[in-house]
Amino acid sequence: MPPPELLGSGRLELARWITHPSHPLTPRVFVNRLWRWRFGRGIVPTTDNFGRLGERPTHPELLDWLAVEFVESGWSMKRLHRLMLLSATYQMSSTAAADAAQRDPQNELWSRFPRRRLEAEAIRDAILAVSGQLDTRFGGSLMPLKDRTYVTGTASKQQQYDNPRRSVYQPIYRSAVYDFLAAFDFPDPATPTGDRQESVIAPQSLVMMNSELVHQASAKLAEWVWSPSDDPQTRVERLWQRVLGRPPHQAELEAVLRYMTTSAADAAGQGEDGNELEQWAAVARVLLCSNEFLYID
Amino acid sequence: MLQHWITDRPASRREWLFHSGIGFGGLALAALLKQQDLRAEPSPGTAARRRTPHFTPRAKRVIFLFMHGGPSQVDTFDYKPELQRRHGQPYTYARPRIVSAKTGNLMASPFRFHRCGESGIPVSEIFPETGKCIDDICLINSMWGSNSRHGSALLELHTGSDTFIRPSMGSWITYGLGTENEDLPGFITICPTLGHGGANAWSSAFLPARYTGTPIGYSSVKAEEARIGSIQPRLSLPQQRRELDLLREINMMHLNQRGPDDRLESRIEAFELAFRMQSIAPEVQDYTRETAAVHRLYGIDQEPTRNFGIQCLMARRFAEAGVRFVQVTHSYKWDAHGELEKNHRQNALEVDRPIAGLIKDLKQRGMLDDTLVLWGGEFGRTPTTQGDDGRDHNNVGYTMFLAGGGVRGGLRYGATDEFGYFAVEDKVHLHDLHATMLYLLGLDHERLTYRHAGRDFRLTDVKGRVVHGVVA
Repeated sequence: MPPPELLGSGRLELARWITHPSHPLTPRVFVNRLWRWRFGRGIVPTTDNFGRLGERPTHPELLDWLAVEFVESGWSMKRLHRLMLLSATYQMSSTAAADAAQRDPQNELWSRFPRRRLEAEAIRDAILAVSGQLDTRFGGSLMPLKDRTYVTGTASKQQQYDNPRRSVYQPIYRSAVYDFLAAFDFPDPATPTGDRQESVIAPQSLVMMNSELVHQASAKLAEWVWSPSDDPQTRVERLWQRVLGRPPHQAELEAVLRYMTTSAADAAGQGEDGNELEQWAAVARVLLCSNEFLYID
Repeated sequence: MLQHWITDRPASRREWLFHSGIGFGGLALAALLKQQDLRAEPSPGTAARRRTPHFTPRAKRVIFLFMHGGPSQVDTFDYKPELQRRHGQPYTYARPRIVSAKTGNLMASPFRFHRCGESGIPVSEIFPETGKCIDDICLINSMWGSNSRHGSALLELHTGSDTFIRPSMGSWITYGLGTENEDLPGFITICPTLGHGGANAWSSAFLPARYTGTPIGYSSVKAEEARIGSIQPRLSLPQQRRELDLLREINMMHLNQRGPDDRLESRIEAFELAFRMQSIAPEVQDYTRETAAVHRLYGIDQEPTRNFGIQCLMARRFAEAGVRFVQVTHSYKWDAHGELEKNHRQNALEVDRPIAGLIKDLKQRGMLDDTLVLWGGEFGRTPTTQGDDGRDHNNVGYTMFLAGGGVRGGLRYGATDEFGYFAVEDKVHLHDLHATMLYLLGLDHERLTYRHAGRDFRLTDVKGRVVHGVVA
């Protein structure tokens, strides 16, 4: 598209030029990003680079179709999300059929849904949600500082993140990013990132093992599972249902019951206080730390 | 060789899709690909292990002593007799185009300088102990950077960019060389400042997250109380071990059902690594295990050297344990816009003995040969006065120093003008410093690249040249 003719400062013309329905890039780049958020990989895998510097789309026709749909629906993000979520592709299982693994090892044809780790914000929200702490209220700002004051002197801002509101409402201090989110690949807030990393590193495990957030959540879960029944099996079932959304397998149930017995014995042997409520908190923590809790199939 | 650096990037999404789809056959193929260097990010168990540098390295690790705020060159390591003679006289030459405040006449250093060591280099009286090590130190008197604001200058010093967010030099170096101890982070920053860009100074930006610096405490925390985040277990170790055993069991059942999957396996291992790190890192950090003599050497036995001394001793212990890049920050105290004499006297008092202690200690342990020590702030200060008795920021000519790690000791490299304002001879830009540091570590700054957003990035951007004059 030729650049527009300038009348005023040029900002209006620039905006119109960028969002012109026949602009070849804007809607394609946008729907591709949304696809990346939903599926874990863009139709153009290099979300931040289209064209000669980037990779080619795996499904050019699909990209075009989505882009046109997007523009024709009045640039409705909601509609675009709905389109993707209701698609058969989105609803595929992540287990690969034998021949699919052979013929499409990298799953470029989307014959299965890629296993995905929850993003940083979703990990935090999920921990707060299953432990009954998440504050799901809408809107508002948690930024306690006035304009400009948050630019300087952010040394003690970590404590500002200590609240149960959803992650999307947490303030972002560029110089003191919330350490829990930062551990799980929350991108640098000053860098545009269309394609978040998904790293697996030891500091993440430290956070899961030792952070206040996880310990508080596991204590809440233990209290929750403690009172209605004193039958261990019922407690395991309730915990599994609550945290993983399914009943435990027999082998899992047995592993937990074994743990309850041996840890009580070990604790006694080492002269520790084998508090049973703490043991259930430990089981809850194991579930919060489990791969199944973090990875979506 | 070039291939090696470019391909070690997070193409891992494709790699893991590949792994999860094709199973153990895929893993075997991945092993083959790895031999061809077409590999994904290593999993934590095999973590960022040692990598081959481009050419024979002189240094294996870096300890960076960061003087936040900007120490004055003409009051420390850049003796200017002409400035001393012309005290109070107007400065009639051109000043930098951008200044933050109007500065006045020339101001002589309130400190005496003494010739030190066999090299006879003049060192300010406020650095008597460091002066004794001058024959192991290579002063770069001709440093300059692009920006005179704290935040931007601090970023440029740490990342090579004063405008955009880029990976820290510690991240680049760990990315280039890997780590020598997989139970510890490869890049550690002790009591870093949270101001002036904060985390951006140790962020890996677009490099994979494993290369991000691990902070130990913050500048407002006492060194003896500083800890790596979430490193302290809330349970007894046997208790936690039992819990992790159950976790492993549950995760293995899940893996057997859903796997093979590199990420799921990596995450199982990551908990084991974290458990080891949790006991090993505090052990390495524990400076109280050193003898009283060592504590004296670093000035830990007395104020006001205790805090910085502890930081420096921790740095040596981490370096010794295989950490690639350790930064020690002397917090934001050097910004002497007023009362320079009092300010610099006190700051130098806090750091002088610990710095000298570190250099001597590294030397007596045979570690100075392959440990590169870097000292300096984000800029220097003006030889002209700000207010009655202060100095303003000066990024156009200042001093940093290198020691050990293959540099020439007892050398004053480069020079500022007769007043110590502008670097004029053998100028060394921050890009050149970075290029030289990488060179000493065996890395070619033009070949240490990372593909991001469609192009290859470098620590030195499109600039930088190795300053061979400082290399022994």
